[in-house]
Amino acid sequence: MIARRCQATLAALSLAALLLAAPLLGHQQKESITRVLFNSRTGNIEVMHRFLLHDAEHATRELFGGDADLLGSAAARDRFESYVHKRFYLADQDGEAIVLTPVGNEIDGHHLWVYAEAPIPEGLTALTLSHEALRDVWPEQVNLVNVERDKTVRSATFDGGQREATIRF
Amino acid sequence: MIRYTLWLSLAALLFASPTLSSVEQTKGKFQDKFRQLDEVLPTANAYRTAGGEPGHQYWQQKVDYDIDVRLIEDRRRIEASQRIRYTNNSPDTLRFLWLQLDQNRFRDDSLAERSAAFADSSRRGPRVEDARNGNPARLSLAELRRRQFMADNALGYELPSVRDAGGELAHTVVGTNLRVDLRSPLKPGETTEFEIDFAFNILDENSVSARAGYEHFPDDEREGGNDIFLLAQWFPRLHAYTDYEGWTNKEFLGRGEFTLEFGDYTVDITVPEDHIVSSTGELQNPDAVLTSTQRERLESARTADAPVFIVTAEEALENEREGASGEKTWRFQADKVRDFAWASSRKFIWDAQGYQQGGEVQPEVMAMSFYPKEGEPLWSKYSTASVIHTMKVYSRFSFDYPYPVAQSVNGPVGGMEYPMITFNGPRTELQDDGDRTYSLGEKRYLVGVIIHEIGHIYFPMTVNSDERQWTWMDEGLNSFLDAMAGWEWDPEIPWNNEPRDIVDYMKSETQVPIMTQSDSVLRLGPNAYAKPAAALMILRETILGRELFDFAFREYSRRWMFKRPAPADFFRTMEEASGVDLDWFWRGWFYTTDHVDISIDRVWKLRLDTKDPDIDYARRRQEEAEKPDSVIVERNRAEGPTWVEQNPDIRDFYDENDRFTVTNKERNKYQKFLSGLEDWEREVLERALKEDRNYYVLEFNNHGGLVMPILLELTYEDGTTERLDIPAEIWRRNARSVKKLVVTDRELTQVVVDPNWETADTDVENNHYPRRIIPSRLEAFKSPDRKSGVSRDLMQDIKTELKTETDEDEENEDEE
Repeated sequence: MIARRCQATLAALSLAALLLAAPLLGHQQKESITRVLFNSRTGNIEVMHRFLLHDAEHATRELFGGDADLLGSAAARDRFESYVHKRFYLADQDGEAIVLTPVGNEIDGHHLWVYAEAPIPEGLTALTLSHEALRDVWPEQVNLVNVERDKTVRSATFDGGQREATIRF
Repeated sequence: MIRYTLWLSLAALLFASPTLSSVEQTKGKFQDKFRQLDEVLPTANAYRTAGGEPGHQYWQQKVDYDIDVRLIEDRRRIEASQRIRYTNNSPDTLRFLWLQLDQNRFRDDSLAERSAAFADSSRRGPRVEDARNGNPARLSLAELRRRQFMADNALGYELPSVRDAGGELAHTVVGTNLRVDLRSPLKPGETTEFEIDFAFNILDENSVSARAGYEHFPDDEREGGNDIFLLAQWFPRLHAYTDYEGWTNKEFLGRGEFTLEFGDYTVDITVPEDHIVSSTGELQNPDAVLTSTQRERLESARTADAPVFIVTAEEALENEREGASGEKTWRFQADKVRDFAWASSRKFIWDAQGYQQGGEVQPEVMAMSFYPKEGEPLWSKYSTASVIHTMKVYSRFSFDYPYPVAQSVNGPVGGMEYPMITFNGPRTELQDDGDRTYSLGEKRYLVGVIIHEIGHIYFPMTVNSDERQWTWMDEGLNSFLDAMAGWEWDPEIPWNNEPRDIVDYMKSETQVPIMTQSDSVLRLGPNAYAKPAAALMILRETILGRELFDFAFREYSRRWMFKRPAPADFFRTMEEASGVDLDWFWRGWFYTTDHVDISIDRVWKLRLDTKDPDIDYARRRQEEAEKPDSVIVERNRAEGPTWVEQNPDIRDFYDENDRFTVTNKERNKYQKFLSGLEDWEREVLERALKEDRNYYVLEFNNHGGLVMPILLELTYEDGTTERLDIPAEIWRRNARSVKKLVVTDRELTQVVVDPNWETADTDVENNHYPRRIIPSRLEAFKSPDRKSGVSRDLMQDIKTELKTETDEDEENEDEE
């Protein structure tokens, strides 16, 4: 039973073998920060991911090969953006997915920002979230998510084996 | 008597512990954010002064090494013998010595391996996932590769012999530590010598993430391919013995880096004869290991204006095709260093350029880079140039670069620092047409990582802070300086590390104070790099100003060059040399997880009463008149005249005189008031009335907890603006809410707190009075007139052909 499960896991995880060669020890990287902002003005949940451009560029190359010049190529940025959207999700207190609409991406300084939004569901009492972007590329990737609602910040950190977190309001 | 003594020692322990506050606020909610740090910092003594300087009896040990090491390339193994000369400068007698056996961390019985929690982020290495929501636990192929490598290779040190002149010495391995029992106690001032033979199998860096190791290139033309070897933490190194901790023999868990002693090294490195070696230290036998051409090139590089190739790309390519059967021994000498690392490969291209920094310490420094073809053409263009630029900037902030060489080596390690030598990872991409290319992002990254790692040769390789305990002391200071050097390289490149970049981290729940031991830090990057770097930027640009900060920072560097500072020495020196009380700043930024969020919530406008009823009563009448009329009165008026208007004959005295009518009663009272004033009071009043200035009271609230200066931009009715900085000390009696009086000739129309985003304020919306709606990033992104400059696809847009008027006419016709 265990052996069978392991085999299936390995087959499913061939992507994880694309491990980047260069871990950076004396230098900081592989950290992302995401704001999940309940914007009362717009009535939307706004998701704003901030990645280090250098990380995103290497990940794009590892994941998709070829053109990974995120500063120069809008197509490469869009490819990275859709990858991020696939690896981030929100759900309500009943486990119903909150469907996010992609909004776009932009470069600011040495960061790449990726945006998405969804209307704030009525009667939302808890938010389940998962942020797996880049964590299939580097094991040491840490994704911090700040959920900001009514001037209160609640945080979830996705590192190690952490795949999902629930924040109750 | 015994009981009394015991009680005393217990009390002493309690008071010595910095975590147990001996003073507590037990009533009310008052928080003293300006409480002096004396009770938190260690008590000053003869080794470290209360001013943060080495004391008059400061001491540190000295450890010299003579090492013979042989790289056995085909077995990816080193075998070595080292003679250690240990000088006890401490006032204590030592019966044993502790050494670091960092390679033992990779043994499967090490504390690091045994204590690694499944799917926990504390261990660097491949990804595993815990079972969750019905999904099974998962291991990545990279994790399996790591495990297979560790199972297939005997890792950790082999220590066949530890001996002195009298024979074998008793020794005990405790994880990554080795205790060597001395034959006789080593008294203060005495020196002892002993020898250790050791060997280990080199790690595959790409499998194990070890800060060093080999990288295999299977596709090289040479049969079996080639390797780049990076050797660090490769020899048993003495643990530091210190005045503040004794033996710093906290087990190596993989994160908290190294705490080491200064000493002189002579190292003979035997490698395959076609290898090029880059190493800590100066090459002692160039005649034996370099060709005459290489030696001539090296000589010409000393005064060159650009890097000179010692080994060209073509020569390196030839080397990596051929291979050789013999060996050569490279001898390096390094004085006054706290560690020793080296790299070896037949793949290396080598360039060098002399940096004439002048001064007495080290007038000439050879900046050198070593890289395989996989780093080209990026490396030959930018590596050595970045090394020289780093020295220019860092030396201005601290001291002259103190060593004869400064090197940047490309291998499997992303970025790591050692004395005189750094390992840096960026590579280029091989395209289908055979070209190697790189993106702008990769170029910026290469320059940034080299500045950072070369910068580490100053901090902590020369200012020898304790990395095992305090990552921020080298990474934080170095991240601050690498940003300074980055901006001076090219201000167009966004180097970040600015206060505005850390607000999302600082308001998050998952953080620990900067003053946390390295192995226990959550989220090392923002905690030990970005946050302290931003704090120092704020200190320099906003709180102290450049002149005071730079003087104090240079003083810290000077005091602790080739010595071992602790956090308190930094805090105390910066304060003492600048002459500014910074205890509140260290307390807030380094000892708490408070963040900055200061709001401006109310502004009251005041005008001085003249006391003259003929003036003041008229003003009151005007104020009343300016109030909006009652809605009822207005609507009634619209419907028709009032009773009094319809019957004017009932009007009397009170209809002609309102409650603001002045009588002689008030005028007499005013005269009495004036005659009762002292002369000085009358003068003050007369002047104030003549000036008739505007008095504004501004109310600020502190939502983040961190006390900071309140930086104000005041905008006046005439459109002019004025900057007003209120020192952080305004919060000393009430850290939650304060008011400030602003007196001005002009009418105030707007107040903005921290207009230039200097203080890492996490909520800028409440920084405006009157309030202003600040769109979120996402809202701003969606607004139609927004087109971020850097996100334009310039490479595509630049191909656009210029349209002529005829084209436009045709286009218009089409549209019609």
